[in-house]
Amino acid sequence: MDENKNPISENPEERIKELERQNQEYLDGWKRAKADLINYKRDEAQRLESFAKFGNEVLISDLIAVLDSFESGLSAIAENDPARKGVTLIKSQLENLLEKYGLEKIQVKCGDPFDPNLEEAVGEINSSEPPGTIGEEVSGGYKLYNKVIRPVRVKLSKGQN
Amino acid sequence: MSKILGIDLGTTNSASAVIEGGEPKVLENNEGARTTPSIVAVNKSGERLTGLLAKRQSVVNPQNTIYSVKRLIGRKWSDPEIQRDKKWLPYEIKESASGGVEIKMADRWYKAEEISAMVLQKLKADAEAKLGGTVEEAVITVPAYFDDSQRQATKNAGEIAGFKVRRILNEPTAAALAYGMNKQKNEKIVVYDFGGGTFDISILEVGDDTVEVKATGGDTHLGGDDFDRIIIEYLIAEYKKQEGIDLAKDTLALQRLKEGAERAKHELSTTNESEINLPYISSSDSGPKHFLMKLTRAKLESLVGDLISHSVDLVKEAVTAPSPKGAGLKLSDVNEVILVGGQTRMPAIQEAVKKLFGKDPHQGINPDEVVAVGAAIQAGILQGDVKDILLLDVTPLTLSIETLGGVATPMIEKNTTVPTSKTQVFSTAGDNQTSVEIHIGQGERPLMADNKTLARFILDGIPPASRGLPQIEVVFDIDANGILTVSAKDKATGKAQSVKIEATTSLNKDEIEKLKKEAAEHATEDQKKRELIEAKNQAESLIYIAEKGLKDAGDKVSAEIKEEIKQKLSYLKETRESDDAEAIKNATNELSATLQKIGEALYNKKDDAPSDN
Repeated sequence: MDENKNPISENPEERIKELERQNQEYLDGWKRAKADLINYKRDEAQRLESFAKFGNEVLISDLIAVLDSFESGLSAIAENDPARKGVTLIKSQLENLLEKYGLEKIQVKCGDPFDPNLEEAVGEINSSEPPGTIGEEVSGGYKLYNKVIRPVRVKLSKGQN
Repeated sequence: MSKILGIDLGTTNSASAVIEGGEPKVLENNEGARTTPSIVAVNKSGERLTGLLAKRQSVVNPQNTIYSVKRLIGRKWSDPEIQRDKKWLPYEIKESASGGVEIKMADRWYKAEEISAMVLQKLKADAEAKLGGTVEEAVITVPAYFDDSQRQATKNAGEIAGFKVRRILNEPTAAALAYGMNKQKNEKIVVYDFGGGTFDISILEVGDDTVEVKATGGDTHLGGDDFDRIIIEYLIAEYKKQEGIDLAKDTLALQRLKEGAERAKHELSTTNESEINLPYISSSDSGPKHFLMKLTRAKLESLVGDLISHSVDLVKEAVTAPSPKGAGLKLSDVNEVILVGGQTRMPAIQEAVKKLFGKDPHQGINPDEVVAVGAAIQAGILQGDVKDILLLDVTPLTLSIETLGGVATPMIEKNTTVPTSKTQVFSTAGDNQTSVEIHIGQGERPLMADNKTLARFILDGIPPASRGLPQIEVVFDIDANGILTVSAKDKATGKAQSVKIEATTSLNKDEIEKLKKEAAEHATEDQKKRELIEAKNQAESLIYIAEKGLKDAGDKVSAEIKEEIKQKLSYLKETRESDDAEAIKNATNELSATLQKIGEALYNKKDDAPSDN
């Protein structure tokens, strides 16, 4: 195939050069192919590992919406309502289950400095906390095996007016 | 040599990809996502943030969060686009000394390319972390309508970020490359690109190794974000009608609603109805309030129908209007249509495009990544990874060997990349068989008789032995030129035979198609035939075992059991002659169950035997 493209020279020295060049090109291609395969295998192993960890990320993200509903629900049930204990237990049942699959709630408190690695600012609020720090947690954030799959939604303090 | 990075530097989001093992691969960023928001910010403590982190603080820091910088790059201050955009951009921009645009971020004025460079720098750093080495060169894509000054500015941005920019590539050309359309001569391709914030149409013509942009069109202020906004507005208005509560004023409620709406929008790409269920979303004097609404695909389509038909009108104009406004073509002149951008996942858009051109648009590659993939392919071509000479052939059809009952047992499956080789050990089907016939065929049908015979040869001189004992090692080896060598070796004697078959990969196209079509047509019937043969083969080998078992067991087994086995055995022999696979299987199972009694009887005898002590 190559011979048709580049007619091999009659001159033996040039021919050697030509063949050496070809030789090098093929060797490079072969090395590259080998290296690609080795790298691919390594990546594949990593990919499988990450698939095992994050394969159900979508399902877990959808279940976080259910946790949100529990949070909102609990805040609407009076402290002394007998239903409260039951609902709290169902919520923690779901939380414990998700924890087994690698989900972790991100813990923040008012007055913490804002960290965009873990939090998303959705607004500002008057608060006694120092300006620029977390003034209010709007909704919880979660990590799946250390990857933030939903940041904590917070309002930042703009100090007291 | 380090890899050349292919970069889709988008208005809203960017992505990067490389060629690895000859295939494009989209790289995940540091946050584990495959796209990176094209946003840069400086926060109150003077720290610079890029990508997702910049986005997460944009609400509270709008003056120092720079997004959509692609709308500004390489443009003159006097450009009508700039005059229009400066009204709504939340950050400050001004005319530079040279008549260009400067952007203010945290008390410093930057050129647009400096901001873009920060996005590129993040892509570079994340790619290096992922690939484990330095990345020095890049191919960066730009919209087809970018002029020289915008292209130069984009190139500068790349160099500021530390790249040697090997090429500035048109986004639609990248999309066409991703679908391998650069080789199709004299084709006219329409690329319909619905991004987050912009809508671009490009009409390309592929000539001899060149891709020419015939016309561009679109709307720089129409995008997927408009779809999201319309859906949210509708849901808020509906809820207000039902419950009299304005959710827009409640941050938490709005947040949950946005997430719910996004989930519903995605779901409606595959289902006809989606329920948005957000319990305890709000409360009133009468107690807690819930949000429960069904959104149908039809409703969604009616909400955004105007946007879709507007986009279709723009496509028509770009294709049919005479030059320079359009490509001056008839809609029927268009050979291929490619969909780019996440919003094109919406079935209504796919339908609208299909209706307009009367053909199915290409959409196999993730529409958010297709431009980055194309950029990586261009990078691969420049790097020499994607060379024609390195394209490896595949076997177009399955190569098989005939086994008991005329079954074609696959050795090398179709579409296997060559060179390749496969070794499998076979045995004899009858007692004292001294030769085997190696019958090699090609095709997808399960029975050898229906496939194309490539060669046959005989391996003889196998020492007589019971069936199943001799080990015949068969090797199929295809070299890079498609030459198949089949060899068979008796492992006991080392006696071997082989045959060489030329050019198994260069069957003519019609022949391949014919064989594939036949296989598909006969799939069910073939499956039945194969099951019958397998059932017969199993029956055959069990009959052999049973007869041998009876003989070996002698009088160690009661006459009662022997009689039962004999009965079942003769029944199986009788059934085996029929064409009823199910009956043969049942008879085989019955005999097999009864045969176990021989084993049990033998073990019990052993236990009963007196010990020597």
